[in-house]
Amino acid sequence: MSSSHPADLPQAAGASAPNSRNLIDRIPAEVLHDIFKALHLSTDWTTPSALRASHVCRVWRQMIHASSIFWSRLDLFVSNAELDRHAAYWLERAGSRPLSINIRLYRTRGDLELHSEWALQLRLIRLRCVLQPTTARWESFSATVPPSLASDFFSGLQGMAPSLKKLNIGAALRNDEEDKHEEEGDDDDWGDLPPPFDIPLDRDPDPAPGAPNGVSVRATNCFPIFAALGLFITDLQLTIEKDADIVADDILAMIETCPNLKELILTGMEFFCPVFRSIDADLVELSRLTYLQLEDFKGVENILLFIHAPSVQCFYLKYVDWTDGLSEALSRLFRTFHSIVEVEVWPDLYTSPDEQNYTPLFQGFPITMDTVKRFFVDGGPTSSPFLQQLSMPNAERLDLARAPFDVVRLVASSTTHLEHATFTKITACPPGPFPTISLPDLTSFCVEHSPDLLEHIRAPRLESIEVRGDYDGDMCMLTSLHDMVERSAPSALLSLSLSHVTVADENIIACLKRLPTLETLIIRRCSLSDRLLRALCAPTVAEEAEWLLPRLTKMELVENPNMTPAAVISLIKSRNGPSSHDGTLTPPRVKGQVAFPKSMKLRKREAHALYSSGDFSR
Amino acid sequence: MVNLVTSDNESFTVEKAVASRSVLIKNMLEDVGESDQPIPLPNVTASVLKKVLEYCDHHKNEPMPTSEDLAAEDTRKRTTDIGEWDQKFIQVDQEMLFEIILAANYLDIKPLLDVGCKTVANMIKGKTPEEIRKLFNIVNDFTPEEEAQIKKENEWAEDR
Repeated sequence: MSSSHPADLPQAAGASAPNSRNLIDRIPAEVLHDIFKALHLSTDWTTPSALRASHVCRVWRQMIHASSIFWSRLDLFVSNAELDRHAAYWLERAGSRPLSINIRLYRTRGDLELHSEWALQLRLIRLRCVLQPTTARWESFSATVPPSLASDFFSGLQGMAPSLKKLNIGAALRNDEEDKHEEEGDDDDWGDLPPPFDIPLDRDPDPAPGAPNGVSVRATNCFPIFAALGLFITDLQLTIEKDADIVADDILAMIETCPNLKELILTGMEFFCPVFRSIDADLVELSRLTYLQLEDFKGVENILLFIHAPSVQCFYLKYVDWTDGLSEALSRLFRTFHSIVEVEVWPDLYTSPDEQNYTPLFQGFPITMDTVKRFFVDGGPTSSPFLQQLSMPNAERLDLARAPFDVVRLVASSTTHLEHATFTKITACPPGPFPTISLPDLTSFCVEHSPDLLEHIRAPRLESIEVRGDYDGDMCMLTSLHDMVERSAPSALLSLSLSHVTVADENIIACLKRLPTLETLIIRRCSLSDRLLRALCAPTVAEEAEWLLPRLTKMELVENPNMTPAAVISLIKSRNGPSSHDGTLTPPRVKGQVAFPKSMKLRKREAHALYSSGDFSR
Repeated sequence: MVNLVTSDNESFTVEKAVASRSVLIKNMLEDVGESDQPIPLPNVTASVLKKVLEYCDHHKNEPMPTSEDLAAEDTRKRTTDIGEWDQKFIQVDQEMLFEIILAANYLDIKPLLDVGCKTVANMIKGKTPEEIRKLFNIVNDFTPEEEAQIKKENEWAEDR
């Protein structure tokens, strides 16, 4: 049964007398086997085609039954009353092959509800008895079982698992892959999450040559506590999908059993997780951890405060509430994690504390983060006392949102290597150009909804500037861009992009006069009008000295209400049309995108003039 | 240039790089050395060889798959995805498809054989056994005992 060598296979369909005149019967056995293999590897539990192929005729059936490769992937369903017989049948044919076992709750939703919990429990116990002797061959094991049965089922899985690479452990009433977007409250009858339970799978501490290096684990709605296998776990992802009472201690206890983690991802469900261990408790030591991501956990500081992971390089914190507690935890973390290269912290804007009424009390000490290259933080005012303690002398990329001007100035000025910066909704910008934020190495700069900030920036090496207003309303920019250009005098600016901005034509024309190197101009949903377009037209010979943007090759004019099709067509003609200047001027061809607001109806001939050359798309 | 002679006695003169996509021909050329002698291909007709050579010509500049490539494909990487050009190339009637598969197998052109196998796999994918029988004109020759076992397998793995 375990053989899969084509030479051992029944000879091809030609052997099947009734079918011998068919084209497919002429195919040699090993090629037919290859066809089944391609079929098998390309299908999943929703269309188990190799099994279906075995139901076509005796020759095909014999071939598929004789080849262990088609039986080493077990797709089992808890809703199947003969789950254990199903497993045994497959295992008998899988021979000694490495196994991939996937236990889902049901094939069709609703099947599971037909059975009592007691019946399901018995079924899972019988299944476990069948699977247990094969743990040594498990390469991948994935099981989702009802929450009330999870502890009992998983904690009984004993055995050595030297080949295991992937382990998925789930407690849920629906299959893992599906129903992610079901209506809220659909699974409200879950009851509680199961308490932490042991996973007694074991592995020899001295692995055999060729054994997999690490085990990747995903736990959903449960907190597995690992035995010796935990030493081999390198990737752990915990996902809590249910709004339930959990404590950080359960998460920490789980992590504690995986001391060699390299990657840890915890995804919650917007609920607060308190911690009960003492602040003096030993820290969970994760000396090899390089990637740490925590998402949607409120009270995330209760986890961070108890982890020591000095090798972390990438640290992501998403959808968190920025409180003093978080500032405290981050302060400790950044002082002790000495390898961080990239930081991202994003709050949950829907549930964060009311910033108007929250007065941060955090008082920290200055922290120098020498290794940080990329730093993205949207903190709001509650984060300010923490952020203003930071300096990142080697940061190359900085994204700050909703921070006060003073914090932006402090953080941005702490590095002399800043190449890319994005500042969004920066508050409390002082009037006038002072104090100046000098960014000598900055090459790309994006500012969003912070017009006054522009006045303070000096960045002589800029290659691209992007100014964005708000999608819901304009950003009014009076002279700040022009002032910034004047102050910075960027000699190599290649790209300027403006979107959702209200600004006078004269202002931008004055800017563009200072930017002769510009190659890309993008204007989206701005107040700029035909006047700018006329200024951009290629001049006559006499005006040559006044030509704006002589190097322009890319232009996007999108939904600007004050730009008419006629003016855009004139501009394009003047740039891309045949030269009427006795060959003295040869402007580079401009390409890009042109689109008008829906209220502005384009005539056929206008559309033809704009788009027929292929230089511009809509 | 290499001269190939088909079972129906038609001659094809092709670049060595094109002919050498076939491991069988490549080995023959290496064994024989420089020679003007035609290489007989008694298992391939002219119409099929023409099609096979079209494939070899299109892929002549690609590196030959190594044994490691084949081993990797054999384990996990094999899917039924087929490149765009190959998909158009293999849009032929069923008879030609199987002829190409047989020729690729005989000439030892693994990537072409792979395209053929994947194409047949795609034809089978998602179909019921009855639909597959109809597609390839196969007779259901199961015994009642086998039918009962098949029903059981279906209950476990397919329809509840």
